[in-house]
Amino acid sequence: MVAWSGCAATELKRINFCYRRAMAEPVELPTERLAPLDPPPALRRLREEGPVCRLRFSDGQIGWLVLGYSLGRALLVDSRFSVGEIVQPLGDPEVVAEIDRIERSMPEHKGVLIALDPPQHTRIRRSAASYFTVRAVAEREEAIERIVAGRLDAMEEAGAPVDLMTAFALPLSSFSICEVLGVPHADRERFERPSAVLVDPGADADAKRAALVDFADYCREVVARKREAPGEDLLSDLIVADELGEDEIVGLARQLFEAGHETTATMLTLSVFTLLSERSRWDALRADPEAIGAAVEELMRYLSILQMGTFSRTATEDVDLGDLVVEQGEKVVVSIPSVNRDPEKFADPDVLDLGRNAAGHLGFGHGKHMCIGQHLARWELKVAIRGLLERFPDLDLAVPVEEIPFFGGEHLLYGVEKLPVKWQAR
Amino acid sequence: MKVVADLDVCIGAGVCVLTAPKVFDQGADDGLVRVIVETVPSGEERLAREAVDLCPSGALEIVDED
Ligand code: HEM
Ligand code: SF4
Repeated sequence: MVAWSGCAATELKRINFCYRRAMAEPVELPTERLAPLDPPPALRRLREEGPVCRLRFSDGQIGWLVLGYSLGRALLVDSRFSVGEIVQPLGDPEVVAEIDRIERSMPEHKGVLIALDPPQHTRIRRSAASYFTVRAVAEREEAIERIVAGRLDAMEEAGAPVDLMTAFALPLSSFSICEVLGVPHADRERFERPSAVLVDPGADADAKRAALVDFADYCREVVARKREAPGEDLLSDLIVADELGEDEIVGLARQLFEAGHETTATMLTLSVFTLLSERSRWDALRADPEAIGAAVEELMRYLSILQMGTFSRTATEDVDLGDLVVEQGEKVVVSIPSVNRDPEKFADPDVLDLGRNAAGHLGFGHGKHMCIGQHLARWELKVAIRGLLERFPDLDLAVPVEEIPFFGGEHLLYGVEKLPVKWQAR
Repeated sequence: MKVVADLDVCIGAGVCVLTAPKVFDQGADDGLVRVIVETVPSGEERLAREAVDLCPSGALEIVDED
């Protein structure tokens, strides 16, 4: 009797809980922030009510928003969820749907990792994995250092103030992906432009369609160039290995160009802002450059720049994850800013503690789609921050914090558009 | 303590190498995990456990708990 009531009570509580969640009024993804570096307070309120809530996607369909850390991890490793048919919490639903439809009709789509499920995903991801291992990236350290030094020289030459985004962060991350894919740095325009249009919430379907075509043309051209004259790079090796089809290689190239530069540039610029806006943080790293690695990890957790969360996942069958019961066909998004501030995982989650062990944060995602470029991004961030600390120890914001333009809202990322910085010429 | 890796599951994310570099490596040709120790040295057990826990694909498992 006692055992029965204990067990049933828990079960009832759970059913009751799930029922309440299911019946609750769906929310729209909150984006309004009170402080530039803290996620919208509404996210926290929702998380305090439970690890998941009903979410209204921008096309009106109702799905789920995961707010709790352990549920987020459990969901992202669950193979009963597919990445098929992406919907977004925010943004013009017609544009989102139209672009998703066009993308899926393009032959290169076969190589776009984030839109593929196994077994295609596994095959393509593995063909590229050896270029992004911890060791492969470490072997590029010199190349990254050279790129960083080049940008620092250019900044010095230009003289203060400069916009750290355009003078440093963006070229640095674009050049790094150029190195991996083996294209000349001068090509950056060709992939930066279409990528920027594709993520711009203000761009209409026509502009995005044109960007998709431009982007595919560019990637096709790069692959053709490599076929003519192979080098020592990922694309050449993929062509020589002849395990992936042409369209798959082109799509993978597009995905790497696209996912590899704006994210890192946004993260770097926002990180520098975070360090400079409270000088003691900058000075602490200056005094102890060894601490930069751990600091980068904590910044990834704290800043969680993928403000809209992961891409949507669709349940391929009814799934019971305890706190969350999803029906087949329903869509779920994991809020990265929320799970990374979950007090059940991280003590004092709203405190930026550069010395803490932030391992396990979901800033690079989790599961089979976990960021393939994570080690490259870490190296870029580390080498870049170290370079700035060494070259411009007195680096400072060149305008008051109130004048720094933050973006977020319907954008996939949260960051600063521009970061004017200054230093004393030596 | 021993760790085994399922290469059919591993996606080569390298979180294990980042976490416990004395226990894990990634193959230069395929990027997939290699457990580089027969038994996990006692000083590395905590990190190895953390790596098993953090692995995004669930490819790692602790066997032979002692
Ligand atoms: C700080 C910078 C970066 C952040 C915050 C970031 C974040 C993420 C996240 C959260 C995901 C998973 C999305 C999901 O599951 O829905 C992801 C996937 C991905 N990222 Fe990154 N990323 C960064 C840098 C890079 C770089 C430098 C590259 C390329 C070299 C890259 C390439 C990719 C690719 C290709 C995927 C899809 C992987 C798959 O589906 O298997 N990212 N990234
Ligand atoms: S962390 Fe897991 S998925 Fe990544 S390389 Fe190691 S075993 Fe493979």
